[in-house]
Amino acid sequence: MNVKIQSFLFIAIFWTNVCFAQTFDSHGASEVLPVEPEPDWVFIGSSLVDVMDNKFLGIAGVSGGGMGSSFTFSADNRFMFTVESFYSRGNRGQRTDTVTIFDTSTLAPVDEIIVPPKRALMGSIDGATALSDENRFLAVFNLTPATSLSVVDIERREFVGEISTPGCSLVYPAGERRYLMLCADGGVLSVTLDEDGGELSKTRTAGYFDPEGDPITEAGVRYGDQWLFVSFGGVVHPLDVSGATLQFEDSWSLLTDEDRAENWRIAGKQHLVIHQATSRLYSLVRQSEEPLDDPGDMDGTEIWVYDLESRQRVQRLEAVPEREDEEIGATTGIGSTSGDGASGILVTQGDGSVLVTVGGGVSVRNAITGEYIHEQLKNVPGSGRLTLRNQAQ
Amino acid sequence: MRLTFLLAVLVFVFNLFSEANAESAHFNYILHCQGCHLVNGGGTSGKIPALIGVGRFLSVEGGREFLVRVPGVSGSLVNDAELAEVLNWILYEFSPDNLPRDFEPYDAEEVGRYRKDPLVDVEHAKDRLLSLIET
Ligand code: HEC
Repeated sequence: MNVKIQSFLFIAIFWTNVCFAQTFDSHGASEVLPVEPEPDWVFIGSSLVDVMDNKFLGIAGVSGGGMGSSFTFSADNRFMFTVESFYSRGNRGQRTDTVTIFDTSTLAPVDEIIVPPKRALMGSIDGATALSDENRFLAVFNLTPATSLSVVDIERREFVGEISTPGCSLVYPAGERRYLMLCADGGVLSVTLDEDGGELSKTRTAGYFDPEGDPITEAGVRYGDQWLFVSFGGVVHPLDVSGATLQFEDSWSLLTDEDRAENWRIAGKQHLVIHQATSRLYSLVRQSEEPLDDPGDMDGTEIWVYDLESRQRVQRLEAVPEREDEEIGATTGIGSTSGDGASGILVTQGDGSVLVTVGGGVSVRNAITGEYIHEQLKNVPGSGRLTLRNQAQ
Repeated sequence: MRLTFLLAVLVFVFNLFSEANAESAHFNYILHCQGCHLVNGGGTSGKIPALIGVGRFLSVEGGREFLVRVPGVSGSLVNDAELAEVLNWILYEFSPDNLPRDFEPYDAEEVGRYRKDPLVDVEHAKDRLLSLIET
């Protein structure tokens, strides 16, 4: 080989290496995230995003046949949990359901707990799982279509047992070792566990809501010791979970007679959120002449903000900024519904809280003034369920 | 002669009426029950109990209440009269051989009374009845 070719090869190889190195530098970096999240870290689907800095942080490898539930976080913030289902032949065969444990620093799965293959396959909506207030027992809602709960001890990482909950569905934390479920006849069921996660008692109370005349949505929000569920007709049903028995408080309406005359209705999948420190309730609404079969089928076009103390509306915001058509086309995804507003909203809870909306893209604004910080986040998924990363605080 | 005629008319009207009943009962079964208990009332082994033979519960004390207080029944979105109709329909349709000879169909008032108190612990109640049936 002559010297010229040799040196050419050498240079070529050298440059290839430089190029590779650069490729790795700019695309292959893998960071380990701090265990304590920043207040403005939000999951959009399974992607973690710093919504304040418009920075994509990583993605959790959730599978579960596209039917992942939302994330729940351990009290020490080190782990997060979700329920998944797998079939031995991909989309058929023997089914295995797991509570999968992810490390919050690497977003990688680190362990799993096998539960009965019964969990409700219903996409990521509220009420699929609940971590009771003691932060130890995770309940998974099962629907076969007989209804029950699978209880998992997340400290010892083991399945404890199943509790039958006939006629009652979805699950929400409601005390130290207690859950509440919504029943088909409009009642609520409270399920209390013993110290080991076994069934201690079940109590059913009738008459929480009207399942036939004005049913409630599953997207309830917690406000201290209260749960607020809102009916299709915009009526808030507060449920107090502080005492030994669940108490129904006086209901009130998000909509005035005038609003109703103008055909305003609640809308959107994730349509409610509370900023705890200021007692502000945010509700997605839209106008529709016909009542909606399911408010989740249509986007909200405005966000109405209420003061929970006075139960008065204090603010009206547009749900999404006006966007160029092609911008929306590029980002509209599965999570978007009617495509003309927002399907979900979320507020962060720290100082300088922000209001995040998803639907044809993700927008971020000051939660109190409503001023936009980012009209459209770049390089993040345009749809998906919003989950606050520092939920466990 | 006149009396026979009157009777015939009465019987005819009654038949029409009960057929309409059966039809609306069947309709409500399709709408509110069949999704889980299936067309033939066969259910799904290990998950949804079969309705075939449920008439056997009526032969023991507490069985009549049980069939209404089961949450899938009591919480169903039909009114008391319709629910009584559906229950009678499934009993005649899926359980003709297990019906006690003196079976009295449910009516709205009775169903309304029982359904106010849905069962929280179905398995327990059912096990108790089954052991009564066996003895
Ligand atoms: C969502 C599914 C579902 C629907 C709809 C449903 N059921 Fe059931 N049914 C069940 C399950 C599950 C059980 C077993 C007890 C339990 O867990 O509630 C049951 C139990 C029963 C039983 C007691 C039988 C036994 O052997 O335990 C009767 C009777 C019954 N259902 C009748 C009806 C009728 C009548 C309707 C319609 C009005 C209906 N069900 C609708 C799921 C359903």
